[in-house]
Amino acid sequence: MTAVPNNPDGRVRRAGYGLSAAAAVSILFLLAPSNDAVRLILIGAVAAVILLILAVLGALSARTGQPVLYLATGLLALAAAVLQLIQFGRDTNWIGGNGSTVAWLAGLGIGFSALWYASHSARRSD
Amino acid sequence: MSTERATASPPRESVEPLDQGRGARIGLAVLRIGIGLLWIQNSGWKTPPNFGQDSGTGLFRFTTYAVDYPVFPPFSWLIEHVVLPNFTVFGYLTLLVEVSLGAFLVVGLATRFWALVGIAQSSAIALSVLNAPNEFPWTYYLMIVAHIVILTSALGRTVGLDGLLRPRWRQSPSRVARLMLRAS
Repeated sequence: MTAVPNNPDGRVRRAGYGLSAAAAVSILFLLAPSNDAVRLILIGAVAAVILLILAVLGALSARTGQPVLYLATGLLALAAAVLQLIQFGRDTNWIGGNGSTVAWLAGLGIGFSALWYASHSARRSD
Repeated sequence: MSTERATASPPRESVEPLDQGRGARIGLAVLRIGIGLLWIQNSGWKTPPNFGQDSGTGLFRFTTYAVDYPVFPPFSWLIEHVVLPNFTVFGYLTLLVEVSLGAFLVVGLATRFWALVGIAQSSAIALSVLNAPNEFPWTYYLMIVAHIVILTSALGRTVGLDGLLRPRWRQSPSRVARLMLRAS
């Protein structure tokens, strides 16, 4: 048990599971009442589906340890963030979110992309 | 007398170290992630493309408070003569800064850099709205203080990506890696 924190692959894996869990838990904001006191992130039905895909892909990345899966998960989240940034506040808003949705998806995208870098550089140095 | 004074002020080496235990690390991670989530929520009501300019609401209304209820006259002048005439550009800039603050602080990447940006942004908001009606000044003071803690304690190294990536950046000879070491 104590060896895990010093094992680079183990730490990346734990971070991958952590980000995946965060993506999954954030789907609960779908149920949040529409007041700013509790709704930190605006999550609609489409955003919930995207987050579910990110959570499954992220967990799969952590389980297999494949850098390319981390990268795919990160790029998917970043693409969704960019699409949401372009569309929110306009008539067409496929994801149905706002700036908070952009920020959350961007955070997940940055996180998974950083895990790709971490696992990729660990393999190169082996 | 001199003996008493020596007893009253212990030598510098005997300063008690901060708690490095699991509870302390989790608490500090909660602080960083919590502040990140507040920025994420705050980016939710900045709505492009006009950011409330047409209806006098949203970001536009809060920005005009700097002129209507001045806190620091030079800042009010800057808002009136530079920001308001170029409001769309300012709106997008504000949105991008707050989206980035939320995204980077939540995952703990380049945390010290973003804590500095957070101090600047919280100060700018404070200078805009401190004298406005129905505002609670403590909100802004607390935001500034929280970012100071994140900056000085480098909280991305605790349950954050900075902690995961710093050993790799330290081994890398690249300029980006050196920059990230400083930013984390």
